[in-house]
Amino acid sequence: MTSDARNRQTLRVLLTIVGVLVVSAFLVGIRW
Amino acid sequence: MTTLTVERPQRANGHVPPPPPPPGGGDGFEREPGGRRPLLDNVRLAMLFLICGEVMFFGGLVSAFLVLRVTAVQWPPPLQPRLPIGVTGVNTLVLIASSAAMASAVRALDRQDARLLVQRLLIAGGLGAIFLLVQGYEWVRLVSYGLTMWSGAYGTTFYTVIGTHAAHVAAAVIWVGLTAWLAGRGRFLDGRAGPLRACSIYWHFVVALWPILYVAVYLV
Repeated sequence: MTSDARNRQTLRVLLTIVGVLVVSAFLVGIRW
Repeated sequence: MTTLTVERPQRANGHVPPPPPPPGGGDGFEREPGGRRPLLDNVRLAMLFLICGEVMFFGGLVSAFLVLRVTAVQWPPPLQPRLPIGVTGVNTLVLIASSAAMASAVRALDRQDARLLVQRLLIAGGLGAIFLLVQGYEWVRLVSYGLTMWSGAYGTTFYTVIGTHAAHVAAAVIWVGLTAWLAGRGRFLDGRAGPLRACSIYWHFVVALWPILYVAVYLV
């Protein structure tokens, strides 16, 4: 795997984590 | 008994020559014509990590500000000074101009123009410093009018959100100053321009963040 492909995979993981956190914050905000 | 041997090319000194490089076709450097950088190199990935953290941090601050603002009976509270919309609007243009100067600096780097690179970096840092000075002057005036960190949610949220961004701009100005100093000593033109590109990405992020904060805190 090249450096670029590995970085893209890492970025996908990062964006997934950020997305989950943002959606969680939104849901908690609605509940609040 | 017969043994199976594989004929391998031998050099005069006995070492096997290295295999030929891959012919390309993947997503890596070999696919890029003319030795161009890949779209997502390590510097950009590292800065995206930092920026994702910063976006969530400021997202939390702005969310807290908006929740307090929406739930307040009256906003701004009575007997509190109004925020300087006009001067800060002009200051916003100053900061956006600094981003243009930074983009010009990166173009100068691509053209290997060291003098223009240093000049544009100094312009970007100078405009950022002007932004900070104007904002500091406005803060002094607001404090003299009675808006402090301890004058309720209005003052607390204002100084927290805007102050946090100002701290980021101050850090970015220091970073650009160091980068300009290094560029003046001949760095970055040898192809190892990662620190400069990281500085540029951070600068653009800090500048792009400001109009969002300006609209949310000053205009909404």
